[in-house]
Amino acid sequence: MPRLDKVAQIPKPEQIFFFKSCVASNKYPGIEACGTESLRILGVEPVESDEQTCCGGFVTFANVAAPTASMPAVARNLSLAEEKNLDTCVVCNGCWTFLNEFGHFMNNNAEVKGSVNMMLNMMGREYKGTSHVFHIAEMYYRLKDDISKHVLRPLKGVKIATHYGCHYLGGGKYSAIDDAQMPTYMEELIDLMGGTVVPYAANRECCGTGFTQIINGKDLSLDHTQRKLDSVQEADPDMLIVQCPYCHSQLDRVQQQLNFRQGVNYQTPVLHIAQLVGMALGLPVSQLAFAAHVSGRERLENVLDRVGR
Amino acid sequence: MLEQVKDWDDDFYETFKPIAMGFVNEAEKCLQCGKCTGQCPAAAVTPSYNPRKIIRDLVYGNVKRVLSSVELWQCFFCSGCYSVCPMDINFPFFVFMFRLAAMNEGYGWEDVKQLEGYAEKSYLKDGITVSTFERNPFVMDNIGDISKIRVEAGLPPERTVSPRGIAEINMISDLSGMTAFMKQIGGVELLDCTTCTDEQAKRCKTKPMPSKVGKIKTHHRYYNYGEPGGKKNAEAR
Ligand code: SF4
Ligand code: SF4
Repeated sequence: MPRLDKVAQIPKPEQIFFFKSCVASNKYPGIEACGTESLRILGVEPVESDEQTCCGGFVTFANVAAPTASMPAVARNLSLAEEKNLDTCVVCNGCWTFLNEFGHFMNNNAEVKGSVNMMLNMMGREYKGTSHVFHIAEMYYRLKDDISKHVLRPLKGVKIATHYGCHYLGGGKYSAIDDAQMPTYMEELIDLMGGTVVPYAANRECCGTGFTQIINGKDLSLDHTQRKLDSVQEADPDMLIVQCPYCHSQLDRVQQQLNFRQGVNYQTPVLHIAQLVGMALGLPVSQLAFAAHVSGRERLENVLDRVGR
Repeated sequence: MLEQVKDWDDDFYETFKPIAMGFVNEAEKCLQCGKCTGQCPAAAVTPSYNPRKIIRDLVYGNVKRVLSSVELWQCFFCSGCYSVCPMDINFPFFVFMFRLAAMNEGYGWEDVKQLEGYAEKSYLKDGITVSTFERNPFVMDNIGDISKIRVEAGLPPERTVSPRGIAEINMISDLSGMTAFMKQIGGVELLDCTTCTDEQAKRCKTKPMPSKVGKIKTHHRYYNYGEPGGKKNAEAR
């Protein structure tokens, strides 16, 4: 059950700083296109900046950079939103937890904040800690009444399974809008848009990327993803909804790798919640950018035939 | 491994806390309840991995066992342990700081070396860590040109970061010591398998290690918490 008191704290702003994600931009552009466009339809104007860089989470958790290097990078990105006096909306669990947690750390540690600002002042910026970071999925939940008003393509008869990902609910157990063990807000959103929620056993399992494990611990990573996919396959949904582009890329691409390595046949399309909302809100098919998806493309086409193109 | 390691350090935990910038604290509150291990995805696929034991070794000061272990590098950073922990111990942050400590002792550089390219060639060069580059031929054939898909979706053909943005993160990298650190990673010398004793070879990660001449030597890591992949080997010793 979502924590309604937390949801009530999310503002419904006229504008929001749209924080672009690396994977969403470079691997699954549909997430970026649908994210901005759906917010626009729901009455929140996304504001972008090309000075925004990657959140830096990957290089940090790959241990290439110590927190001393990543804190100022986080502060710099957030200061871009602060300059415009806006809150920040991210599409990625990783960006969310990284900006949120390190922001929180700096806000409560005057010494660190001071030294970070010393660095930022050299480039004419300042980190104040006034921009709140929201995940697009929680924005959708906050705006769910607007979503139900704008559904043009009801997802009738579409069987949908959910995957929440770790870093939003787990890493932010006190700031997320739902419970880490039994989250339901995505299911509510799917219900609202007319879809059918398909439960499966491994819902709360990690996607298996393990940050860097997919690169230097590939066996562990593939093993774990396979467990997840087996369980998904059993429930046989038309699509699997994620809220993190990194989970998206793992679950989508590893299906093909496993098919190739082990002669199995996983074909479950994976969609980001922004794409699902975009689909329900009637965005043109080209904006959903399914052409960038690896697995289960036929099934996606079939779904599009059913809900209308 | 426990008995062979004579490197207990009673003060390690207390001295580590301030170095770890406040990321590692309250480990002494751990109840050893094992909830973390119970829901850990890494422990699910490799039973020798056990966050509970790593925390125990941290508090008891059995540093060497943690720092020289392969297990330290198997965490998925999923924060699942934190989400279930009754004492709110944020273990992934421990792992993160521990890995830096391990590197300080000369372990784990071969893993980091593989990742350094992302920082140098993508993050600091373009401001974006994950590039459009594809290695997998199947994916290349099926998706084709991503910029075409971007244009069809109504986006600019390429996502770019402004030169000022890139200059600023490079400045941050220089000022904070990340650039120097990366140079160090680039100069790591990896030991090769011919120097192993039989005992080492038995416990060694099966992955052959590349070797390169440079300044820092990286040591072999061991499965200090039990043999991987088998339950009977993962029991406490
Ligand atoms: S769940 Fe928390 S208290 Fe329990 S063993 Fe793990 S770290 Fe310790
Ligand atoms: S963060 Fe690491 S130790 Fe914790 S549950 Fe995930 S994989 Fe296990």
